[in-house]
Amino acid sequence: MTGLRDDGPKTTPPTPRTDDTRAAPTISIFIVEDKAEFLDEFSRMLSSAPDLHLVATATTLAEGLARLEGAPVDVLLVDLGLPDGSGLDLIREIARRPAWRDSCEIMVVSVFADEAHVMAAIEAGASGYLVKDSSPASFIQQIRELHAGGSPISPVIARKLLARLGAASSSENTPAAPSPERASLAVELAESERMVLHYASRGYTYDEVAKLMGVTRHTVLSYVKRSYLKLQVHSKTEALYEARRMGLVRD
Amino acid sequence: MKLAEWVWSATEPAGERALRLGALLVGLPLLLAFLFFWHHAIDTPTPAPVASVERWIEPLAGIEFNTAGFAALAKRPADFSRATWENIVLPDVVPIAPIVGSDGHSPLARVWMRVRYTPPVGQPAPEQLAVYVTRVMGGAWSVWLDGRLVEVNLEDWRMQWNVPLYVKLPPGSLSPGRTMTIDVAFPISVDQGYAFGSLSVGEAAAIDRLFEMRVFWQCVLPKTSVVIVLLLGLISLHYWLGDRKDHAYLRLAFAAIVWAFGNAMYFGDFLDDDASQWFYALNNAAISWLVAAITLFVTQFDRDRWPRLEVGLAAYAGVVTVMTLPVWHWDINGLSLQYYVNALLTLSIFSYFSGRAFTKGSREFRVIMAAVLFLPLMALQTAYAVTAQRAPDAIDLYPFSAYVVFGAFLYVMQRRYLTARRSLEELNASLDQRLLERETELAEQHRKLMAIEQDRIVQQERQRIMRDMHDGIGTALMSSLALAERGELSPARTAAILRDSLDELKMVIDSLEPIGEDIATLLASLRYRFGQRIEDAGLHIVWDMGDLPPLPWLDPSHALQVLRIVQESFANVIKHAQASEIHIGAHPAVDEAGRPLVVVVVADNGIGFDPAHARRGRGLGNLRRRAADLGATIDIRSEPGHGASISLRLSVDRA
Repeated sequence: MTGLRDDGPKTTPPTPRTDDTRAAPTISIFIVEDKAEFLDEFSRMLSSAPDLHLVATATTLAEGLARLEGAPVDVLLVDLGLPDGSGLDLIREIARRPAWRDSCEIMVVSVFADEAHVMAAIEAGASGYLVKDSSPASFIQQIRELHAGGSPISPVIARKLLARLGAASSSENTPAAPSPERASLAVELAESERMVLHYASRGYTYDEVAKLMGVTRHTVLSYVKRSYLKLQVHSKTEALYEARRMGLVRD
Repeated sequence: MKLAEWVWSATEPAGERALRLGALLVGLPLLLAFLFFWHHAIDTPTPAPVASVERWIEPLAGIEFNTAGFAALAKRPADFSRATWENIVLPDVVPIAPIVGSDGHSPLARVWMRVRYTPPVGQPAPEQLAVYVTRVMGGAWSVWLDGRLVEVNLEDWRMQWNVPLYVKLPPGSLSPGRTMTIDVAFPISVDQGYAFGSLSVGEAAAIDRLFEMRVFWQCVLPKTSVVIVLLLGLISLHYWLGDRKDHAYLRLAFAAIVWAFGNAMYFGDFLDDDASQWFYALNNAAISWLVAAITLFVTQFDRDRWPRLEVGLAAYAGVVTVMTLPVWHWDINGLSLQYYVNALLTLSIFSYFSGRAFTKGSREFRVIMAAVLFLPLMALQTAYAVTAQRAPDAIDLYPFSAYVVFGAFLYVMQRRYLTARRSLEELNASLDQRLLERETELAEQHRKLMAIEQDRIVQQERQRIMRDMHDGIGTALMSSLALAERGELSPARTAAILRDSLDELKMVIDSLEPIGEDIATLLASLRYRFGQRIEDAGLHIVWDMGDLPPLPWLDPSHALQVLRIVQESFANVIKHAQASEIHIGAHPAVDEAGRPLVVVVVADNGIGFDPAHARRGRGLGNLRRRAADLGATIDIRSEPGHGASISLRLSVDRA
């Protein structure tokens, strides 16, 4: 935790933005997308960015799963509606493989980025999502930001996260201990994370939120990513709690 | 279930205990009687009664027919020289008529019964002799041996109608072959007649058995029955006091107590003549009350109610009670009369109810009627044998009717109790069942209603989306297709049309998202979709979202309208305003009437226009129409050269 205080937007001077294009090392990318035109479009957009390197593509879930046997990549772009299954299965499989899980950021690509699909993807382990008709500049920027540890968020998702991890979460999570591997993460939202989600749900951009909270854009992005991780833990403890309640798991 | 358990836990002990105790009270004496009878039956043979005796009726004078008179008489041996003996066969009776027909000064006499006994020669002589007579109805008896008085029954003479005569002759009076003369004498009032039962003489041990057997049947069992019935009555009364709604127990208690009082004469006698007269009068009247009491009990099992009969019988019993009081000195034998009249009365009443019971009555009613019919029959037997002094050897059966009648009453009360209990259990079970059925039914109805409601919502939503598609994307794509086919569509225009259609689709999707009446998030999603494009158009966005109340009416359909209004406002600014900054905000407000509002403002710093002449395709009319559909107002302000602002005023509560 960064231990930020809400001193108001004016007290902290805006942090100058680093130029990602020049400073960042090469980012390896793997795309799983069954529609050729989108695949082509993505490839073309990526080719315009020297630091983004498309290392693999797959058009089916089976191909995608097969590629997991190889070396992990930095960013996976995955469509949820694959011809032989859901992209969610690929995301879940990655969550089971420590090598991939620890080094690969997963970004879901979708036409509309509607709440139901995005929430499911985040709960499965994705940390970002892209609308397919994003402009090339936004497309490239979002991949870079994701790789740098920041996640995008839409107002509807922010609102949903607040509802899921907000007020009710503390009492719900006390009895069920978090899984050991993420025990260090409190499942409740930190106040600063709650602030970010609050602003995001009301339409403020990251830059505006950063300014309002007196932190950097990057910090805001990392808060969002942390709240995604908390959602994943929350879903797991919720599932565990439900299972215990129904007698499927013994203490 | 729980209610019934509670009810039974509250009532069960009293009812069940009463029934069990009652059954025990009736059953135990019968068992004892059986054991007693069995024990005596296997014993040595009992001596046969004396076949015939000699009788002399000695006229008396100067003697009162009371205890004092009998005492004087016992000191006065008869002058047997004047005796005229005749041989008679026992039992010897002179019956008493129900209507006596004398002036109350009947002549007195003393009846002598003489038997001669010779201990057989060549056999061991009996140690002691005893005399036994089943019943002597008349004045106090005296037993004489060879002309000398042995014993006189002065103390107990009023119980002679029930207690047998049993006298041990003095020992030492026996010698084989020597004939002894044994006389049994008793004074009588000639008008009243007398009854003298079978007489036995023999070894004291053997005679003793006869006597005890007789006492058991004749005295012990009747007394026991009185005690039992009295207890039963008290238990019933107690039970009724606990549950006063159930009058069956009160009626049972009444019948039992009347019966017990009516049979109290088995318990003894009064030495005082006056007191005994009053006691017997009331005791006899109880028989009439019993007719009323048993009818009261019986009628409740009939399908109809018989209030007149019940009142009539009670009145009859009252009249009889008064009439038989010993103040009138009428020449009637009240007991005998009542026996006959009541027997006739009960026979007719009970026969009538038996008919009803056996044609259309319940099982309980039949059992009751079968049992109570014993009552007049047994009473008639007793009236004939004992009261009318016609069969002194017979055991009077009337007290035994208690075992039959009250046994049946008990049985019926138990059935009643069990039936009530069972029906309550069944009622409870059926209530549970019905409740379950009703719950299932309700759940099913609820499910159906939910399904219908769900269908309705889905249908509504489907129609709405269809309409939106038709009006928006459908129309746009259709007209572009026509243009494209005519080759009049440039690639740039095509891209614009497709972009618009995609925008429209995104708005439709966003309007469907679960935003929970939160207009801030709705507007935010609009920025999320189009903010980049606005900025790409060179406009700086100033975003200002206040703390807004939820809008309860903001369903997907209305959300889409709001999105369109604001999106069109964006488009207007981009197309016409030539502005560098667009201000988008929403804040709470109140209208003129003080009702809460949410005001959405889209303002720019562009060239502005004159609202009065705004006819340049700005689609302001379109905006107004959409706002009207929402029940909202739109406020457009502009001045040439000073930018423009569009305010959408949304009521928080829509009537």
